[in-house]
Amino acid sequence: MANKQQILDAIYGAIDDVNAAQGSENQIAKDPKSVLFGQGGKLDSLGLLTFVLQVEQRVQSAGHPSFTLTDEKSMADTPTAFRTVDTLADYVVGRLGG
Amino acid sequence: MDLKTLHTLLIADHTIDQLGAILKSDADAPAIKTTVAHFDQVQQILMNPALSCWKEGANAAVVWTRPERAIDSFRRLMNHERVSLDEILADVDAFADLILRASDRVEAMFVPTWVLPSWWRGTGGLEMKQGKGTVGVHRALIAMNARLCERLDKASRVHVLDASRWMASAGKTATNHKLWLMTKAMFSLEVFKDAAADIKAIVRGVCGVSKKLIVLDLDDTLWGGIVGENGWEGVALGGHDPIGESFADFQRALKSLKHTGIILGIVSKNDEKTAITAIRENPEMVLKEGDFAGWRINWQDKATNIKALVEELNLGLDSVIFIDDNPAERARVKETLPQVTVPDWPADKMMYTPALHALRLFDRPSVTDEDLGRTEMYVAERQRSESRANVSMDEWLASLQLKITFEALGSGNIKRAAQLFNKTNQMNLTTRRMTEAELLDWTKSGKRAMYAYRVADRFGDYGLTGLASVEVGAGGEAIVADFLLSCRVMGRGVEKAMLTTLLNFAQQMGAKKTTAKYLETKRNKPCLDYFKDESGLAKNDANTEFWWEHTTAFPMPTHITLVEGDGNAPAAETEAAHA
Repeated sequence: MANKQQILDAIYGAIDDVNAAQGSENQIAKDPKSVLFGQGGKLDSLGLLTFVLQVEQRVQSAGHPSFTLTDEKSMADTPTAFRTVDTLADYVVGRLGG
Repeated sequence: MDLKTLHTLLIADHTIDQLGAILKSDADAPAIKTTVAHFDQVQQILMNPALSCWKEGANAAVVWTRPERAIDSFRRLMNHERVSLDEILADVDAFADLILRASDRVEAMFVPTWVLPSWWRGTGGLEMKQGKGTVGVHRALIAMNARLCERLDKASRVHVLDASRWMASAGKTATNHKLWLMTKAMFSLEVFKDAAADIKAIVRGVCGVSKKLIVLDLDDTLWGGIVGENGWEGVALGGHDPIGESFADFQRALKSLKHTGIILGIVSKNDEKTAITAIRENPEMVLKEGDFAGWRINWQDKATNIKALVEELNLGLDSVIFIDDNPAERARVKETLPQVTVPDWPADKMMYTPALHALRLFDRPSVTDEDLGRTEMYVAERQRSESRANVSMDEWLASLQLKITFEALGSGNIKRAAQLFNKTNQMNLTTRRMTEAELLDWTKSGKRAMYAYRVADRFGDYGLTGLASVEVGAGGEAIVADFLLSCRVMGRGVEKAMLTTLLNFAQQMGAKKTTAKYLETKRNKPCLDYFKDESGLAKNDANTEFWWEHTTAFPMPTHITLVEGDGNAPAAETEAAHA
């Protein structure tokens, strides 16, 4: 079972990480409504993959060692699941059976 | 190299774009523009200066490779083929030669050491062994990095950076095999952040803007507790408790910085006699009285005291760090003296030493003999000031027994000369900025002379403190290209001795007239004042040009002994100051 706030914290930690390489004009706000993927998104493809792996690592460290966001299913779900911080948090919680 | 025009070419066999983004956007100065060269074309790029990536204006480069990609024999070793260390080191030599050749295209080249992924374990116990005709992978890697450093040591513009520290700092997440498979990014953002911070620190050092003076508080900074209340016997320092040990540890860390030429000073709200007694008498003090170049210990405002101390030491406020446990004092100094760096300081006293190490403010491309003897020079300066009381200026100058040695630039003085050239602001005629290699290149023409000046007196050796150059044109007019002198020796006739050497060279080369053209900056008014009021040269109405007609000999000060030295001789040990 996963608590959505814990997952949001993991996502916000990953946002802190990737913001270091984003430049001042492309900073991602730590807000559920922040767009991650698609129109309005500020991450390029390298940035998005780095972000995904940072979230994966943080969720694993938070007590879910076998969790993955880079399997075929996650990749297929990317356009909807990674649209915003909020949709991503819901997606992760769902994948963890929360 | 100029901090405002930094443009770095990133050359790598792994995805390095994120390092570029961090170098550009990281808040620490300087901001660095970056260009990423074609992925995984390292050898070709290093070999071929005609490639477009070299023509985009980069004045620095990062060459970051994976050992198994840069050194093919090492790749085979990682596959457990039998490869000798000699074969691997020969490949390292060839790769180092490529770097050395390419380094001429930029002013600074940064080469991170080779590392393996954080998950790599190899063959465990065999990793550090050397057997018949082969060697363990980690052992080979250590030897490769040592050889790379040794080969690149000969190029002053190449800076090898320790990537293993970045890996250790990031821990298990330094590399992520999935990230490699999906993006060909070998390293995590944590590693890139550390790398960018180290690159910026050494760039600041190369540009001569690293910090020179640490001003320290005493109570709860150098020792635990209040010496005025508890006496020196009652403060926490050394011994067998962790707090006392942490202060001794912090003092050792400061002393080790002093051994690299960083100057220490004290600004403390205390009774001076009590504080100095504590420093002298407490047997646990690692830092002794002679380790401090100066102090202001009284009950006045600390910002005022810092300003006075910095003036006494002839330094700029922007070269100063202030360390104090008290957040209110830090805030006051930050607000009053914004040029002074005031780091946030941990409330946990046991974390002082790591906090000092984390500052990244003391990086320099090299440490000279002058750096090493700097504190002793300040102590000698205090003695000189004391000797000046109650005698006339002429008597005092004569009593100094000044000796100036001038020498052409060479292997024995180029490091210190470049350092001085790039950091001197006040007594500087034209404020040009050039690297070691550019300085040596400039002097290759027979019509030019550039001299380094070493100054000594009866109290001690100031070391290499002046640099001046002249270029003789075809029309018989010589131009003084550079004229710069450390503030520490201004006003003692050294300037005239320097002019004498330049004018002698110009005259020998057939010049009829030698002109010094003053280029104004925000900080070089002392140089204008000297040329205008004291040099003895003729001047125009605008006070921008000063000249000497070579019809008479320029008057050399009689209180100075001028001798010619050898710039290629190994730098002499800095003499300890003696009274």
